[in-house]
Amino acid sequence: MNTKQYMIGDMNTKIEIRMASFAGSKGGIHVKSKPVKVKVAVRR
Amino acid sequence: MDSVKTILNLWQDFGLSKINRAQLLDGIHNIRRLTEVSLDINFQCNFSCAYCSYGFKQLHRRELTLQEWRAVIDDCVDNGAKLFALAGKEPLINDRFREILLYLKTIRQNLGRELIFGLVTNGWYLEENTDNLLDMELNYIDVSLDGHKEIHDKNRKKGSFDRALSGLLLACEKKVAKKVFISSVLHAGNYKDIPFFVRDMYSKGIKHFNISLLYPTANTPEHLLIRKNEYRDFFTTLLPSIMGSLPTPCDLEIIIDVFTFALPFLRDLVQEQVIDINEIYVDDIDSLFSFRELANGCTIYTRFALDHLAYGKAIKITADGYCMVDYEALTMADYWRHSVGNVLDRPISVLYERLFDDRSYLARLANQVSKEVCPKEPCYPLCLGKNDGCMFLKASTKV
Repeated sequence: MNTKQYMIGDMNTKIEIRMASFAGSKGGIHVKSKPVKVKVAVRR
Repeated sequence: MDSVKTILNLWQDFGLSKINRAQLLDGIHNIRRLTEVSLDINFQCNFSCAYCSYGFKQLHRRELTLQEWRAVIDDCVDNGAKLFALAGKEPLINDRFREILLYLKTIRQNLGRELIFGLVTNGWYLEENTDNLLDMELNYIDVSLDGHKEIHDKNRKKGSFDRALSGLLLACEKKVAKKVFISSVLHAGNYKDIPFFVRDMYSKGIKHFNISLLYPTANTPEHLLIRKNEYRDFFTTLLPSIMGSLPTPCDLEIIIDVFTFALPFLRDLVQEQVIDINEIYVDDIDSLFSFRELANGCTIYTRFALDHLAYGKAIKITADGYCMVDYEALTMADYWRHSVGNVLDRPISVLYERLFDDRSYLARLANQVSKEVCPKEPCYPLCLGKNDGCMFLKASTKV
């Protein structure tokens, strides 16, 4: 099976990034006021 | 949300060699607090879903007593937990859920701060339990429905669509929770149907939807694995076009949960501009998300469980008390071997500490963020190490 083309099943990579949030909606997005933007990546 | 920013800065400093690995781990350790607790209150489920991610069907191990659950909940709350989810295997299959929810309700009344709790159910026993749930003051309830009847029943259980829908509509009518969600697993067999399904359910009064990407395990049927182009079609074309065709105003809320199982895939989506990483927000319980509001008012969220930032945020406690941070552990028949220990043996604070030891997932992740393994100039904090190309090359230069 060529898993590389699949959404989450990229078994071919050796990277051990396999954590995920646990099942459920968690009640949705919890934002009492205007959501705060964050930058999740920077480049050196 | 301040903790998320701090963690971002720590990863950046680590990447720029301003701090070492120990300082990174210590820094995250100091700032990260337990936020979400997912409870499996039993080992039983009357379904046998095609894509069930549990590594076991039914176990006959000793389950925690109510008294033990109360102590665990107290311990989690004392350690800062803000959200409890009764998520497994099927919470409504016996009466245990009532006692636990009542306890959570009592805790919240005495706590003096917000405490969110809800449950995830296949819906089979929902209709007969709506009255039992009425006075629980649930923040939310998730009912699993994966599309129209034929599609849902094919992968879940014959007859389950009608039964779950009856329960769902009754739960809505009786207002058993602040928000009643339909939770759907998105896979190759339903992604074309889901937008029409959402539309039809909205016409019945359901306003909240949570769509989670199928979590693949060794037992997942290959024909259900969704391909990148299929997800792209779903996310960029099918879903917004059908939702956009609904009359104005539209108060639909759709959340798409993107697991980080295959970061290379996520990177592709960024490079193809399906996901804009410069437009990511954080909510009150540290969930990262992006969103777009359609012209008619329908809001589509994408929620990310980006590993570095989610680490230590959520734990799962199994029915026999094993505590784990990694969803992958539950796909194993011997899940307890992949846990950080049992709540009957150690307090939550001790188990939580174990997440941050040197052998932990986080340390392995830190090892990947190094110039030695990156073919190009690395970017931080989300360097993906060994992969060709990088989703963050175009990202801006400062947090």
